[in-house]
Amino acid sequence: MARSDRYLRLLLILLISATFFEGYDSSILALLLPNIQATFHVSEAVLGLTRIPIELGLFVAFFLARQSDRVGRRPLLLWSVVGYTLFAGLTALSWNIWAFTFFQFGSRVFLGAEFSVAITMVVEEFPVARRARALGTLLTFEGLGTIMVAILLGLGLQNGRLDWRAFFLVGIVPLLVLTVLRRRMHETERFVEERKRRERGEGTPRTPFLAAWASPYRRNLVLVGMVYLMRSIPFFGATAWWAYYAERERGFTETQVAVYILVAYGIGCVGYYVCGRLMERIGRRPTAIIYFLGGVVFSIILFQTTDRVVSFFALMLAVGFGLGVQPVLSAFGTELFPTEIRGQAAAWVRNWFEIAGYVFGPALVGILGDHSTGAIGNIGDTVSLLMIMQLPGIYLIWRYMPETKGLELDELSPVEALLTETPLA
Amino acid sequence: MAVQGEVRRATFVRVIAIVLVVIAGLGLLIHTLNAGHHRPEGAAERWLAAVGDTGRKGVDHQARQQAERIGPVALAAPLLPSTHDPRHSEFSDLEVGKARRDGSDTVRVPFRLHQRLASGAGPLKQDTLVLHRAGSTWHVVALDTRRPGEKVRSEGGPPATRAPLVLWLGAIGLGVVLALIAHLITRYADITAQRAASASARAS
Repeated sequence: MARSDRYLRLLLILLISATFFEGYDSSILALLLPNIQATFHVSEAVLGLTRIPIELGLFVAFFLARQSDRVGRRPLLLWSVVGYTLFAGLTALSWNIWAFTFFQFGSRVFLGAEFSVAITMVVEEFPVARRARALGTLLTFEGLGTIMVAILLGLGLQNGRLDWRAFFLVGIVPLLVLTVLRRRMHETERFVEERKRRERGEGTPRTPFLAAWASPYRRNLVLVGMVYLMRSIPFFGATAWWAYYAERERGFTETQVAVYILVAYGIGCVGYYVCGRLMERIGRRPTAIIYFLGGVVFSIILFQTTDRVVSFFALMLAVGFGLGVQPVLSAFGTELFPTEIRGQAAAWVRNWFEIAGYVFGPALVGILGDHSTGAIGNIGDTVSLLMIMQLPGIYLIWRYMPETKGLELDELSPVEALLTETPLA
Repeated sequence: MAVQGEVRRATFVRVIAIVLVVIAGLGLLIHTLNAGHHRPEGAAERWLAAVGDTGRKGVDHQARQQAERIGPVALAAPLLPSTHDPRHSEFSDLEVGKARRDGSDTVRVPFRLHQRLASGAGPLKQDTLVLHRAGSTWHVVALDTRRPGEKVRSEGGPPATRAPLVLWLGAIGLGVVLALIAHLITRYADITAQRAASASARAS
């Protein structure tokens, strides 16, 4: 039986908190890094190192999210919200950098699981015609999470009694929303049907863990994975440290950082839209090469210039090209694989190769760019040098990536396949 | 679901082990590259940040200890506002410039900061810290007025540190090497996949 429109609207509102807070939580770390450093009195290298265990939480989330196939989507989502809220609250109470790291790790585990289950619920509950739009709405709210941090920063929340800790206390909002509305959220119909089949001993066999590495798909998985990895290390290194770099190496104030981020993310959305149009018009490969090159060039300008006006435009364009490349990357991550393996291949690309960038990019920048002990000694040059890592990615796209423009996909759309493992049959 | 040419779990574990060894190797390489770097600019920045927190409730004791390890907090008296909000650092921003040699073991590091007043950013302070080297560490020994030409980056001065040209050339070289490795990995994945496919075709 199809869900009513009213229920689907309510479900979407409930799930939005998962994606919104993924963007929100990640951005607190990036935008309030100087404040967190000041509280705990640690070097850039230690800040960078702590990002490794923190971001590994997203990797652990991959395994937690898989449990939703066993216990159900609804209970896992609800417990993930409780877990995230608990760890976000504990983060606000951190007494040293290691307590902060541990609580942020826990927060990432539950947030990652929450995000993944939210996407699965949309894929399973929304009819095909409305699915892509619902997913688009969810993803938009991830970006709005970043913008919200910038707004709160501009409003001076960090100047209150609780300093940066107040930002983490905002993380209890999803729990309040779910406490009120949890009884109105149901288990997905596909999971209920699957559970019944399982009880009768007719359950759908799960796709083997390593199925995406089988010989027919291996080459494309390695190819797409390396392109993701080589983009994500410098990209996440840059986004994690820009605010710190702007304040400590270029003399920006917190308010200027907030304004720059607000405008840059606004333009970043345009880059996303243009990419979607361009890849249909000129093809995936040329679009990806243009966006990768744009991301590299404008990021290097951003991390080298001392001129505030140039910096402003460089940030807008770096975000526009750097973030905006996502549609074409999604296309590579899904269109090169047949339907039966697409979801799992996309999960490997995102949860292993891309998360490696989340983990190592910020760490590398912090360790090599440490003002006192780093081999390079400043954040600006370190990020600029790391950007060169994207060149092999551009080479791989030019030399090996098949063009998939105009290719018909039979079931899942690229976006939904990229964000979830194959939903239940 | 059975998939043709599926990867064995043992092979997967072996690949993960190789990746972990490569990561550990890179970690050791970075540790070696970082060894021996003790920049006066970093010490000056850390001292000023710690001094700024000596009046901040909750972290004041730890901040004082950290600052004293680098240089006497008393030297910073002219930089501190007469009244401040104990919830925040006494400086609203902070930037240090490039160190200039001033004797065999002494350097001068220009800096720029704003005092933080309850009403917002306060007066701008532009001075220079004098640091002396003791062994491998730098200690703040004096606060001085700026000499001509002493500027931080946002005032048009040179960057506190700059990656040498050889590093930029090395990074381009590394990019080429990485592209070659990526090329070889893709070719290898292609060849093993074809081999596995033809083996399973023969078996069937």
